[in-house]
Amino acid sequence: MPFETNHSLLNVILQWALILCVISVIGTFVGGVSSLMGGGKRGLSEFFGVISRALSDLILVSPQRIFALATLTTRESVRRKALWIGAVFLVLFMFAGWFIGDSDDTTPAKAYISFVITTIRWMLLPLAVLLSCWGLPADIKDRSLHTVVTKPVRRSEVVLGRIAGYSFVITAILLAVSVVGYAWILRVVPERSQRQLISRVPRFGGMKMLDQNGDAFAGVNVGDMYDLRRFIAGGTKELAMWQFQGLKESDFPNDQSLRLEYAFEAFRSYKGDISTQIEFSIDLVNPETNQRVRLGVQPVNEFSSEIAHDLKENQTENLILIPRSISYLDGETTKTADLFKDLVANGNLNVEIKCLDAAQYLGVSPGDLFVRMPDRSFAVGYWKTIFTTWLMLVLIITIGTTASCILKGPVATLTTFGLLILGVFLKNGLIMRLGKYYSDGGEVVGGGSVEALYRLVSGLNESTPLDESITKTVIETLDSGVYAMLYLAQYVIPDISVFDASIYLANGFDVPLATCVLPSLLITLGFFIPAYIIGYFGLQIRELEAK
Amino acid sequence: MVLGVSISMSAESVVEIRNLTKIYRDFWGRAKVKAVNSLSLEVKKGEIFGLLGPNGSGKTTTLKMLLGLLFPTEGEIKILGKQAHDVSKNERIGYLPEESYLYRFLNADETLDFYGRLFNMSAAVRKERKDKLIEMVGLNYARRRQLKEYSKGMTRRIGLAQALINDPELVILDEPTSGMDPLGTREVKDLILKLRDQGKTVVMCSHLLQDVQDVCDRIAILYGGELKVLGDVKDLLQSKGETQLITSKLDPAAQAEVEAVLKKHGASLHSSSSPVVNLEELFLRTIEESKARPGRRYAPGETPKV
Ligand SMILES: Nc1ncnc2c1ncn2[C@@H]1O[C@H](COP(=O)(O)OP(=O)(O)OP(=O)(O)O)[C@@H](O)[C@H]1O
Ligand SMILES: [Mg+2]
Repeated sequence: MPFETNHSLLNVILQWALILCVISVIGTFVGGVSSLMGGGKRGLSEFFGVISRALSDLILVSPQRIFALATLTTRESVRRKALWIGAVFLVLFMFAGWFIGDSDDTTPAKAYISFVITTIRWMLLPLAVLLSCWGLPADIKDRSLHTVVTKPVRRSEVVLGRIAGYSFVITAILLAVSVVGYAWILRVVPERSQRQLISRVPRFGGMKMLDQNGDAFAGVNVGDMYDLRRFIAGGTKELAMWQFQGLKESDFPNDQSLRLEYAFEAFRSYKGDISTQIEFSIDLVNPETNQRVRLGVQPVNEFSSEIAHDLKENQTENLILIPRSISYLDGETTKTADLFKDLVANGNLNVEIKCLDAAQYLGVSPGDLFVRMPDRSFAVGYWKTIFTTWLMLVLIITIGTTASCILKGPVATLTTFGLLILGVFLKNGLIMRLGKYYSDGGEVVGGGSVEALYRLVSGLNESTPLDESITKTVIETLDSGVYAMLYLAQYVIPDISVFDASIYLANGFDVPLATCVLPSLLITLGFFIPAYIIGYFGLQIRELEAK
Repeated sequence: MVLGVSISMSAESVVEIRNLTKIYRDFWGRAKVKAVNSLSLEVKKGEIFGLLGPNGSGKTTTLKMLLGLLFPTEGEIKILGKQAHDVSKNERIGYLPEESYLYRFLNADETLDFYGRLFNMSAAVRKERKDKLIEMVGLNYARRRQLKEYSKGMTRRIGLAQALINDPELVILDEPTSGMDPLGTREVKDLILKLRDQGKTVVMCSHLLQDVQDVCDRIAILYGGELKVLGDVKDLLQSKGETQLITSKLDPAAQAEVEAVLKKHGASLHSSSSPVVNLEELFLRTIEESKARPGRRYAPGETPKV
């Protein structure tokens, strides 16, 4: 739903602006009060002098000076042999084929693609950290920066020049290794799997399941707790219905047929006939006129490709083709319906799936059926993946440079790595726990970390309530403080796993703009601005001379 | 409050320092060194001002505070009418650091080009200035060599060239002749005098007293961060109770006659050599005296007795 995406995008930006405002107001307030206490009225006016100078320094930067500083940074990095990483990458490629080639299964291309993207990410990530964290401290230590700042150079220009210079170096290396990686993928992926090198563009729809009476229900649970799928019983009226939206005739030029791709699962409650697949029916329904067209019957593809091959059913793609003009049986008579005229109403189309084999089950989840829009070439997805990787590297460079404005090389490196690692863990561990904390109204069994520690030390089990006492109040206050800080931290610490688009690419999907490229772009931009400000102040209020 | 220090507010003062104090602190904020102590002085437009003092007397610290590299603990600085932390003042300043802190992986050409870009100079202007300056400091033969291969004197020369890249009004030189060969020293001194002739102001510090004596109009002597002597070099070095007569060569009879005339006026001929004390004497005497009488400071209007 495009509208909803825009809406949440606006929300995200507003939330970001709010957080930035709150932090700057707090910063200004703390700074103002402490300078008032330290230096009285004069301290306060000095403080506001610093703030107003900062505003002009941050905004009135000279592109030419930034360019000069960026060029210098680039030269410096080249001199520090940063480019050698590209050579290491080439060597890896030369040998990687030995290890990956054999691990063949149904999707060999996946292994190669993941390998290339993962290698690029994990080789350039430390390079970005090291480059950006060591350059500026070395410049300060050698005092070469001192000569620079006796020229009309604003400290903000130093920060921007550094970020731009490192980004340029990283971009050059990234481009080089990506081109090599691309060529390598095309070369090593076996001929028969080349068709996996594609960027499929899925259009997902909302799914609901209806029971025998046509009421919504949650589906049958066949007992596999790790499976996202819910099941409908075969040979009954139970069905799964997808509601697709925004289908436009113009998206399918030259009378292309509309393709549905599926990935259902079969669950056999008894063995049945093992030489035929479980089948399901597909009905297209116009959501407004309720005109219904039985499209046909399709096998689930429940066997692995080898067995399927033996059965001479080597169906490699789970595709349902819907021609523009559909002939179907209505009772005894054959009728034809036009896809876009008769079935799609204002871009909406419902698709109903029923399992045909009695007493067998068909497993479905929302992502299991999608409209496959016209495919894009593998190159499109590949370069989008490289683009999000680039955004990640720029983000890392921004954070690293900022850290190096305040800290010395080793400390800045540790800080940056720490933040990145924290960011990844935050996403998976912390946010879920926080979610639970808030959804349970702050009531977690055994309490927060401080309470848990208290229970550990005093030997209380986690379900015994604490005595009502001052201790309890203190513990709970501390715990909610910890949670509040963690809550803030999840916004302040970037999650670099967002930038990993290889999961789409390796599985043959195009990298979606709305859920991957745009968030990556926003995260990088969102961090860039505060990092720039912090870096500027780090250099500005620091006496470069005093060591 | 420093005794009777007042600075005449002249419109043409380029640098004004008032009660400047710098205390270096350690990581915990504890005072470590009081490098400059209540220093007040003024540099006028068009003069060559020399800062003298033994090692560790706070000369470099003072210059760095002027440039905004260090923040004063107390006191005020006005430089070219602006605050020390105002970067726009740097448009009109050239600075040669004590040691040339340059990028060692650049060559002379690239170095000057880089600093030229920082002044937003156009490519044509950069090229013209860079050719002229490299020629001037005599590095034409080495302009494509990386600075890490330079000798100390060569590094000083390129440092001097970068200080002049923007054709500054105020040139601040921290020991400009250190590491230079005699010829280089001569050239630097000539250059400084030439800069003054062009109407620029030069603030320099140096240990080489002869250099200072040769070029400076006014000097200040610092000791332990305090100002001990301030004044015109001529005044400071002029010997008060003596008159110097330089004549064309006199034959012994004429000389006897002159001596007789002097005797008649109650004067005697002390010596026929130069009566001007040299700076070395003044410097050593000031340091001696400062050690003997700690806390005594320069008071305006005073001229040390030599
Ligand atoms: N970064 C610093 N941290 C702590 N103390 C310092 C620092 N820089 C200088 N000092 C101290 O300040 C005092 C003045 O030093 P400064 O460099 O200004 O002397 P100077 O007059 O330039 O000496 P020199 O003739 O040797 O160049 C010295 O005692 C020195 O130890
Ligand atoms: Mg010095």
